[in-house]
Amino acid sequence: MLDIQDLHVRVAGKDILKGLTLRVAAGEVHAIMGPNGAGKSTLAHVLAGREGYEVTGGKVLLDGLDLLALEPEERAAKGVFLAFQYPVEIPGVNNTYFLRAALNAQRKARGEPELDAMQFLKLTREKLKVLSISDELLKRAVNEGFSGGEKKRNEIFQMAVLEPRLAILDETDSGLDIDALRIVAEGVNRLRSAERGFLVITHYQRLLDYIVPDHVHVLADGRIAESGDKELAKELEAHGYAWVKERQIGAPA
Amino acid sequence: MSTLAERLHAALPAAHDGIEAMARQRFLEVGLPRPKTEAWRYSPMRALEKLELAHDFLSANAGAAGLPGVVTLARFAGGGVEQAVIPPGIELGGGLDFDIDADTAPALDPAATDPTNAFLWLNLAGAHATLNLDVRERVVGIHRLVVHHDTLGLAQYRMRVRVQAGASLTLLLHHEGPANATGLLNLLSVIDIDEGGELTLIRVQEVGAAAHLVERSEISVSGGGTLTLAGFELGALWSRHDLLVTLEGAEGRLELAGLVALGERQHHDTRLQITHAAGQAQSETVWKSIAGGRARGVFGGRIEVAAGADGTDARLRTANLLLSPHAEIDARPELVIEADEVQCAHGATVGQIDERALFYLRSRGIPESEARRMLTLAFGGEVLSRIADEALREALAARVAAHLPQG
Ligand SMILES: Nc1ncnc2c1ncn2[C@@H]1O[C@H](COP(=O)(O)OP(=O)(O)OP(=O)(O)O)[C@@H](O)[C@H]1O
Ligand SMILES: [Mg+2]
Repeated sequence: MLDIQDLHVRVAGKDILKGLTLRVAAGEVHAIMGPNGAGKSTLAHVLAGREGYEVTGGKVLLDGLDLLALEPEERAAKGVFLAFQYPVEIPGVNNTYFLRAALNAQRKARGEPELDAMQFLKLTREKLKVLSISDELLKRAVNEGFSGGEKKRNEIFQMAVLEPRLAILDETDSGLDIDALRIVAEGVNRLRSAERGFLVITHYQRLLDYIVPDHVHVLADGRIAESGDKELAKELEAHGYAWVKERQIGAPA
Repeated sequence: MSTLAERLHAALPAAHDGIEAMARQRFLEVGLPRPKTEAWRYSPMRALEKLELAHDFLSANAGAAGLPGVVTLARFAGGGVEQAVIPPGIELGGGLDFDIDADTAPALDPAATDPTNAFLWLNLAGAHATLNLDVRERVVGIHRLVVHHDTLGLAQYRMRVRVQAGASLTLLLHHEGPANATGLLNLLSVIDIDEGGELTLIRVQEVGAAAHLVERSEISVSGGGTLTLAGFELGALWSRHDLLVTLEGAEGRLELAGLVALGERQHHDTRLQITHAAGQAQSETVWKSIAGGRARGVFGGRIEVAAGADGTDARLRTANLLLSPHAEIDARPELVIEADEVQCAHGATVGQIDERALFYLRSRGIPESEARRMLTLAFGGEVLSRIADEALREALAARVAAHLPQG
């Protein structure tokens, strides 16, 4: 479903991704771990179509389609969703209004009928419950004045409403308390399906106890330095990233 | 070709009394603002100089669609003023008198207010119509006065509003008109709010896109009186509004909010002057401008705290949004304080659409142009939120959205 081939990305004149190759099949959850500054958010942003990233090589296909040629909103309509590491506060734009506009824009782009206010309300009510979000948050402006945890929960709520084909979660677990972590993981697990792929970026093995990944990758120095199953995350937790480096140096050429 | 002053003079209706004849004379003596005239530095006469000022009014025009829940009192149009037909079942608020042929000249004497202002003398020299509104009680509902800009030449109107002690009114001043009205509208309003009176003024300026407008509003608020203003400057090719508000007594309150949205080659200049003439009064102002295309917005917000106006609390904030590299906004807050123990604050920001917010919206599937509109409208949301009536607020939000520049 997602096919990243030898991706090179430069940011502000600096090479950040240097030949990243990764394939995610529908139904799979891939965890991406890696040291600070390794390029994890860069990868997430490039996939979502943020400006300021210069792709100097490689390609990205989503269901066979050249993803990098699309505008961010076109990618969203094709099913790309990014749960931001730092969700943006947008004063003056009502949360419910925003999300309905987003859902309807996507549906329109796909040639599906738009939802009216009542249909939308019905759709959101159930998802709110799963994520323990009070509808008071929905009446406020997008993320404005939300606590760190509320922002992250709002991201997952949006994901639940938009039902993407490819969900990219950039450190959604950071800043969540233990209960919220479980709630968010539960929200994600509910969405796991044979039709949907996940890229879960995290620093903590704990999240992966709740969202059990099919594959774990280490992103270091702009590449996938190591891949494995969920046991790899445990090894990392025990030994740190230096261990990956040593293994690479020690590995036969 | 004759000068602009000569053409304006020639465009006046025949003088019908000594005051008008004198005002004509004064107009010519005072002369139009020159490029160096400080008060008009940002709105030079150049834009008006090419106006031909034909004597015509456009034939009857339906004007802007009505607004929900609003009773129209009167309408200036075609060089006259007419009382609106009040729909059956709707009653004018009790305690509301208005006189559409009032002789308001003595109350509007430029010699007493701003003797060097040529447009004031011009207005006195031959206003087409005047209206006097007297509010004697607490009036329920929203009442509207329409100023229909339909001239190819010069149209001049005056209005005087008095809110008597303890009375209150919500007044919607609605400027509108067809897209082909190219002429100059010169308006003067004098508003007095007596002790403890309350006026909520909603100003919606959406005259046609080719129109020119010079307007002056002088508002005085007596002790314990309140003025709440939500103003929207959306229309006209070239417009200038001098808004002068004076707090004359203790415990007076001003809450002023303005939203200016300009696109293409629009020019708008608001000169707001708030005078705290008496102490223990409060004023809070927020003025926001949005400019796209090659538009130019000017805002001068001056607060003057007179000697002896101790205990004044005055705040003014202006925020500005540029949507295009060719648009320009000059926003200058200014404080002049001659009293003691005052609390005053002012601030100004100029910015662009937040790229992070834009990407966030787009990443959720909202097309770029719509995302920009959402963010632009959100910028003005603070001013729209001042409209208490929900139906009217939503209708005005739609009007504002329709006037928002695309970039
Ligand atoms: N706009 C930018 N200008 C300059 N450098 C940037 C910019 N964006 C990212 N970088 C740099 O690119 C590198 C990768 O950043 P990125 O945010 O992708 O790291 P990350 O793996 O997500 O880190 P973390 O775990 O801390 O979130 C960092 O060195 C960062 O400073
Ligand atoms: Mg990151």
